Amino acid sequence: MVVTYLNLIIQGVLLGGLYAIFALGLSLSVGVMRFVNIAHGDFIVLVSFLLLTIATALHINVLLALVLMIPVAFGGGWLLQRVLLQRVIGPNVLLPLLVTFGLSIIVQNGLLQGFGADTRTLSAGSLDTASLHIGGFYVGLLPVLTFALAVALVVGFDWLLYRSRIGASIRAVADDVAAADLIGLSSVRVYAIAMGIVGVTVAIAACFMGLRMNFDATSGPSRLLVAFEVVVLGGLGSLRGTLLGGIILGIAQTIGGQIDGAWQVLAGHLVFLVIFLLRPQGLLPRY
Amino acid sequence: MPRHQRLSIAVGRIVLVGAAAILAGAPFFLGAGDLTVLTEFLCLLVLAWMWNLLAGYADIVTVGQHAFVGVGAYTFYGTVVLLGVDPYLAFAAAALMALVIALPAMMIVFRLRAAYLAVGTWVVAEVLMLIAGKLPNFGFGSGVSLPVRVAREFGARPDERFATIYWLAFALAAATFASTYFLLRSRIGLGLTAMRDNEEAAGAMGINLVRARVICFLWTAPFLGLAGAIITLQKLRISPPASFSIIDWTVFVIFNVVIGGIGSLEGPILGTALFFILREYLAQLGTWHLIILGTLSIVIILIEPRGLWGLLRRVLGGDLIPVSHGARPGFGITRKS
Amino acid sequence: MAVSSSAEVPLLSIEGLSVYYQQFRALHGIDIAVGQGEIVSIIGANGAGKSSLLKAIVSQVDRIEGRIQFAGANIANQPTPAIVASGIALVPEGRRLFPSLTVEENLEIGWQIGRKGSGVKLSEVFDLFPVLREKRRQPAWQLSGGQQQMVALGRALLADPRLLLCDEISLGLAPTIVNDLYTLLLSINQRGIGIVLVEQDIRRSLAIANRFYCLLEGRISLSGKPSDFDRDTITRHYFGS
Repeated sequence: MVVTYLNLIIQGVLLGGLYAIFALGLSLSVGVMRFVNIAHGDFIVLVSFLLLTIATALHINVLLALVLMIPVAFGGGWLLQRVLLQRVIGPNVLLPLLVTFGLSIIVQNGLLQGFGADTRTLSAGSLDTASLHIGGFYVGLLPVLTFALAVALVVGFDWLLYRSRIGASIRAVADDVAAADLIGLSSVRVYAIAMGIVGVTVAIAACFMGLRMNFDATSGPSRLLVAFEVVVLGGLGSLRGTLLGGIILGIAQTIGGQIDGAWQVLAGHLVFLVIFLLRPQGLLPRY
Repeated sequence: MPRHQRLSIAVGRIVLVGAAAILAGAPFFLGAGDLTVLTEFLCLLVLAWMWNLLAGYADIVTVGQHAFVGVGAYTFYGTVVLLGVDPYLAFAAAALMALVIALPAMMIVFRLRAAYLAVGTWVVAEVLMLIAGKLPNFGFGSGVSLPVRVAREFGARPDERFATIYWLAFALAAATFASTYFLLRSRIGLGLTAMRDNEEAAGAMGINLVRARVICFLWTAPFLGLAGAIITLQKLRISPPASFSIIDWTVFVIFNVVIGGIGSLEGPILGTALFFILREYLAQLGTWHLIILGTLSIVIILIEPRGLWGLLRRVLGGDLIPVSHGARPGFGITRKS
Repeated sequence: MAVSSSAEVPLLSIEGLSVYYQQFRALHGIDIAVGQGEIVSIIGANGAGKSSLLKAIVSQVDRIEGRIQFAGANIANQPTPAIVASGIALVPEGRRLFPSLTVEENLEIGWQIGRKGSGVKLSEVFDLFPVLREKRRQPAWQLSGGQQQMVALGRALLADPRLLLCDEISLGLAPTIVNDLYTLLLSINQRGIGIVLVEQDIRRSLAIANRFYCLLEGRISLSGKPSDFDRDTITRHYFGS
């Protein structure tokens, strides 16, 4: 019994790593550009389909496809911000919400049109089934790698935002966009770079989501809700909080799923709501 | 205002009143098929007005409005079929239950800051839908049909029944319109309009904006619940995916209001009417239907955030249904220097 | 229009500049010139259009008419980052530091916005403002008003400007601190950097200026060398009586 639950918690923690990766990009776009991208989950699913297409067409491993995808995703995020979102961000939060809402529906239905309604997964060859034997537990190698990657990304983002020069300008624009524009620090440029970075996180999330779980054209919203819950649970703008939020949600879903398969998603939402009502500022708020 | 504009506004008002009169008498000259479409139109119009009240005036962008439609549907089924209550009382129960659910939902949603609020409402709606799928007496995830005897209470013959359901939808739409109109012209509405245009001015008017927003949020719930009950009566079936359909009761509604025009009472009418006209041509296109609507809404936001009505208003020189007194310059999007 | 004797072609020359905010017109076709390495003071009462002038130079107003030439190139309606990168740095009113960035990060923003290959070193700024060296790792919001003003000045200096625009740098600061800042401005000027000083405090800014312009309701009411006019004349043109 205890062993079962310990095992579930380990699985939940590892799943939480994936959820943290979902949330990193959302956290950055909220923290810097002050808007929630409703299409975040749909973009993740879109890139999963693209990775599937590239890997199949070129007969390459999906992880290699991800490496090829990363610069494209950066460019995609950059372009989206520059061409579309830049026109609507500002004091009125309604407009970017509605535009990304429209994008969400367009992406979902575009994917339905292009790829049909079938459920897909990605495969990375033998990595899919490899497992490790640690302290009496068998854990999949892929979940462990995903979790390690999540930790690395959190550390990397921390470095990028708090140690690098581009990070300083991103935080400057997040602090006071009017002051930045006034002294000649182009918020348009900084926003586009930030959205490019979001694009990179979306690509990584897309790859590891596809390796880990099924997806179809309409899976986007549920990924968005997970990312959103992780960001709010962790505390706005907190990178370590993102990891913690992901882990809590991962554990809640895994244990909920054990009780009854149908309870997996609901358990995650309910745990989120309870913690949110007790601690609306999040578990590790930055400010 | 120039004379030709005053004239065109007068003509616009006559068209509006004429359309309302035609709708009021529709069962006398339309068949069951057309009435069904019109019932659906009126229900969607109610949803559009309610979404617009929140997004266009109260600064609450909800993506979870389908939750209250679903709650209304399930409550209606529960009271009428499981408890055997009189169907007309069941409508009251549907409205009341939506309001009851809105209270805890409000506690969650209002703790979220503006940009997060939208997704917060979605989480709440998702939870309610998932819970609805776990209810044993409501057919779990696959739902259940209404017994024919319930439908018979609204008319022995099908065409009688369709007429009664249509009247109910018409009465709901009329009540929604009238009460929202008076809400917007009350101190609360004035405060919200002032907030939209200039936050400081609203503060100076001494209006408690948080309270005004809370009232709007709660205001919409019973109307959404009633719409859910009427939709259920028409479709004679409840199920989590259909009764809590985000596409039907939220996505389409948002597109209708955005395309028609946020922040006016005319916009939702225009958008919903256009939606039904377009649907005649686009519905068979399947996924393209939604892609086209999504693209259209984004293009409209880029051109005129106040939608088609915002464009028309420039031509007409004013609103047909004046909600705010005097001029209204912006919609929070005027650039401040 | 008097042009500084230190150069034949002025560093900055503005002709017929009008500034509009929607329907409101803040400046009415004014002419201003700043020579190489010159200190020019812009004085005027609240609302006379002083800040609008500075913001117009860096393209941060709704709409302008007229010509703005900087170092021989037309900069009117250019994007702000391009103007700053060409060698004009603004020390904005209210300092406008980025509160969550450290002192050092705030200063380094200057490198990013400034002239390409800016040769100004962080250590030079710390030599000018030694107190900032100790506080380099602190968030900017923890500093006193005077120290924040030093960071704002330092940020502008790291952009390696040829022209420094200072908007109300003494506002809200203790007199001794203002004295220190003005001493620093002189030493900055000695590096050959032109300075436009916008101040409501006439006495101090006129004391270090080579020339001045007095604005009244969006028009130039008086200009010349501070020594050419007595105090009463300047006060009269300042208040428009």
